[in-house]
Amino acid sequence: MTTTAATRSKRKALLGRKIGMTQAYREDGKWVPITVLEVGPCTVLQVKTPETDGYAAIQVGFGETLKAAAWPQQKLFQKVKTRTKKFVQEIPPVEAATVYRAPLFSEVGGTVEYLHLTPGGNLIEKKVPRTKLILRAVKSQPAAAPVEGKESEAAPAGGQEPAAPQAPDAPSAALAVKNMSGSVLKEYALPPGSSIEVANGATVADGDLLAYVVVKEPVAQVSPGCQIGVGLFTGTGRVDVSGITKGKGFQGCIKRHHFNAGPKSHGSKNLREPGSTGMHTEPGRVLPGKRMPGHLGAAKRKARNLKVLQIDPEDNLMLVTGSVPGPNGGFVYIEESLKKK
Amino acid sequence: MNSIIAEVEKKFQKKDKPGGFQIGDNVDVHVRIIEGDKERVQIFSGTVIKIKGRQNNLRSTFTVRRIVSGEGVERVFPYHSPSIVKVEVRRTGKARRAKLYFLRDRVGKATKVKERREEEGVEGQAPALSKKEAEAVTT
Repeated sequence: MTTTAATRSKRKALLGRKIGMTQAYREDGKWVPITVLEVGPCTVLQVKTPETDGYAAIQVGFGETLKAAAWPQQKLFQKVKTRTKKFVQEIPPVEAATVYRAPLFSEVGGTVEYLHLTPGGNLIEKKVPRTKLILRAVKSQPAAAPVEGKESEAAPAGGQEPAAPQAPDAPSAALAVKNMSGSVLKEYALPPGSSIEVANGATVADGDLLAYVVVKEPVAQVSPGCQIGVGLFTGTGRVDVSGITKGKGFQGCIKRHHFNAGPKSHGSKNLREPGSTGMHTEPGRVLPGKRMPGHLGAAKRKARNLKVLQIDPEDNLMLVTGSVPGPNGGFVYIEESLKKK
Repeated sequence: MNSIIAEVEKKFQKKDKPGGFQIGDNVDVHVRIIEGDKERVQIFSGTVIKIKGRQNNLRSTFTVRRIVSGEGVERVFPYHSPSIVKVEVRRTGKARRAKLYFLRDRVGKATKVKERREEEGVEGQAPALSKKEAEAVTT
């Protein structure tokens, strides 16, 4: 949360998570290594202005956790009615057109975390692992597809009415669990007249919203509680991605500084030794900055000028070529490249 | 594999990926080649000696071997590569192995793979011919 050069710059920036690496084809048929990044949605926690704070920036949070944060931060999260964010950073100011408001989990369903489907003695417990997972009780005809399309995500917020009008006297109900790309993960058929019970005791009728659905409403002004998605980077050709590299522990000179190893045989006792560290009585000390064994990794590093291959604003995914620092699932800071466009 | 990565890979998969050929078949692979700003289709014909991975895997490949002026040439084609236009089966082959690496040690006539026919399919272990392939054999 410190004021860095990046926050003072005007570069577009956002927080995200490294999902992992894979391969993809370019149009000319060549393989490229790609990293899949989940970029946003970041919740605006605080808007800093030159008048009040001496500089302009937006403090955003990413990555939800159920744990409580330190008290001062916790109050910040409470103010914008959001869960504790694991990764909080400042980004340069953004235009209001790139920001939207979405119903926060706490506004929509509160504590809907575990679902129990009670009818027919069919008890199913399902944890909602991702905020993007859409759990929706849908009334439908037995033959008709009980799945709501992606358009339903554009339904009005508030969560009591599903987008698609459903016949009130539909003979049976189904619960569709969709993943972020809209394909159905699992479908539960419910007996007629059944209800879905939520873990906290509340009863949900057919058609009720059970979990977080991303509904994007445009806003006129960037204010706390707003969301910024990967759409911010529309038109960006190259990005810099910084993260905390994997920790390697205490390492020798060969791994840490790419020293050359000594001979393995002929009586050599110099296999992975660092060698001489300096001169003789003059200067009689080791010069500062001498490269030696020590701790390697777990440091902030930046991968620069990664080409943006694809942006998926629906799923908040960004595909970049090459690798980015850190383990899969690690938090990353993504910003527009300075050097190349 | 991470489900998100699986979804991403699915998007890069070709819907009309080449198929209909088996190990040992003699095929023509039509490859799109970009030379400067011109685009043309080159044909690489030879024997399929290796099929690697399932075809619904983005990384699956097949290897085609041919002899060019006395020198063996092998080319690996990814199933889902956008540069592969189509694969035509010239001659079906009867193979009792999944990988025909033994062809690398052979020269001349010995490199030919026996043709796969319906009768042979019964006595040998070669799989039964599909309709399409049966037509290819008769014509």
